[in-house]
Amino acid sequence: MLWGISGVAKLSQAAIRTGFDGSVVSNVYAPDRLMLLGFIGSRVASELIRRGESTVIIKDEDRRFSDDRINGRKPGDFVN
Amino acid sequence: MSSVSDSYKNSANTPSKQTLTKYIAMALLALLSFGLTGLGAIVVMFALSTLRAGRDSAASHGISSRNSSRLGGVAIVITFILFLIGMVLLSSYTPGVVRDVTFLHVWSTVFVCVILGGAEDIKADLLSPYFRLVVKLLAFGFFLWTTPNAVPLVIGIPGIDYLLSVPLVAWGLCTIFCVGFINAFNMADGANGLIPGIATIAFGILFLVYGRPAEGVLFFVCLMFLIFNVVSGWFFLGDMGSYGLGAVLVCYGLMGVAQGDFSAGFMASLLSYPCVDFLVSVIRRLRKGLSPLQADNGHLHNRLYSFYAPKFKSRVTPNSLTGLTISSGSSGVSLIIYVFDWIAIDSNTWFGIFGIQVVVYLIILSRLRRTQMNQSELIIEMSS
Repeated sequence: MLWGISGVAKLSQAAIRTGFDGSVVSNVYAPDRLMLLGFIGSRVASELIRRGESTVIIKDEDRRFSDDRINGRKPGDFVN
Repeated sequence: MSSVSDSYKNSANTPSKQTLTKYIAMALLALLSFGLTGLGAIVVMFALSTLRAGRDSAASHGISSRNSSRLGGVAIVITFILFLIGMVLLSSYTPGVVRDVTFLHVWSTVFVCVILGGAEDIKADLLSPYFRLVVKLLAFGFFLWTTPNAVPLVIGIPGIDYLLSVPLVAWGLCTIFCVGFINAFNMADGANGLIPGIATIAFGILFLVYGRPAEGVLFFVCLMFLIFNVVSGWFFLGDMGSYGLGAVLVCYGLMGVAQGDFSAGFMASLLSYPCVDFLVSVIRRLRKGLSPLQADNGHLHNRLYSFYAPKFKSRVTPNSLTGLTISSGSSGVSLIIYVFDWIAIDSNTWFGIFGIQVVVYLIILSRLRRTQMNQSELIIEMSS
């Protein structure tokens, strides 16, 4: 289970590195990802990353800069 | 605590062919849905299901006909906490309880309900029903008093909206509703996959609405439990699971309605089975002059099980089929309407869907009652 969480965290970091260009979010059926997270889990991970980009990371601020560190959070951080 | 091996052959300590088939089915479903992560969760649940503590005899739990563990709630709580700890340690996850005092109140209330249910699971009748009721009233009363933004001001029903406009009345009504709801959730937990199915669908929708990791993890944990519960029948949610999941859903549901994210009709439709079954059961018992909380076999799931049971040789299959039929036929309908976006989730049209669900419930209940009576007459004729 911890391997799975670590995998989602790595996917999230990869999405930040690529500047949320959609490559990580859309790569749902990659074999290694399917092995670790399964069909539903892979979709859930994509949804978390996608939502993290648009709504959850900088919830209180309307800014999406990758170097934003307001409230000690970085883009891709999960909040509840 | 020692292990119990009632699913193993006595002579050699090897699992039977039927048990092996169940292992394979659970592993495959877990792998397909959540990969190796899901398989890990299933392994944790399997380990807990073999503990001697918290085991129920077949006669003491709903429609089950085999000895099973009622520590399903413990398994859900342990898996959920393991996941949260992992997320905090391995990612940048900030739990809601740290970030927002509202979530701290929500999860404190859930914690109280989980402890209450857990005490009952470990030792039946450890706490009196009156004590549990008072503690639940106090917990939800405190939560709604300290979190007034969780109390809806309008739900779209004229008479109730008038009452909700008076803050003290609104607080009292919502407190009673919350306690009633988690009791309803507990009462409806009588067939494999029934409450886990409804909870999986509800958390899936909440995750799609909010996209928060907490709901994502709850969806994952409930789905894994659903697979384990439906395939094996070795595990029940127990009071800890039904109280805990019910408390999370009622708190998140009330907050969502209060914030206008979805309508009260949507939540009523999504969680229609426990609510309607609870109300109908209470009315049925009061009409017979019985205590409204006295257990009986008049629930829809009992009657549906009586309908399915003669058609299968297996004891688990009709039980699981009952749970899946009801959860997919009630909450599953709401899921389909939501996914295909046929009705907006903040629309009051959902009250219409809820009304249809109530009518369908009553029609099926009535028809199955006749089937049950015919079967009883047949058995009496055959025995005489």
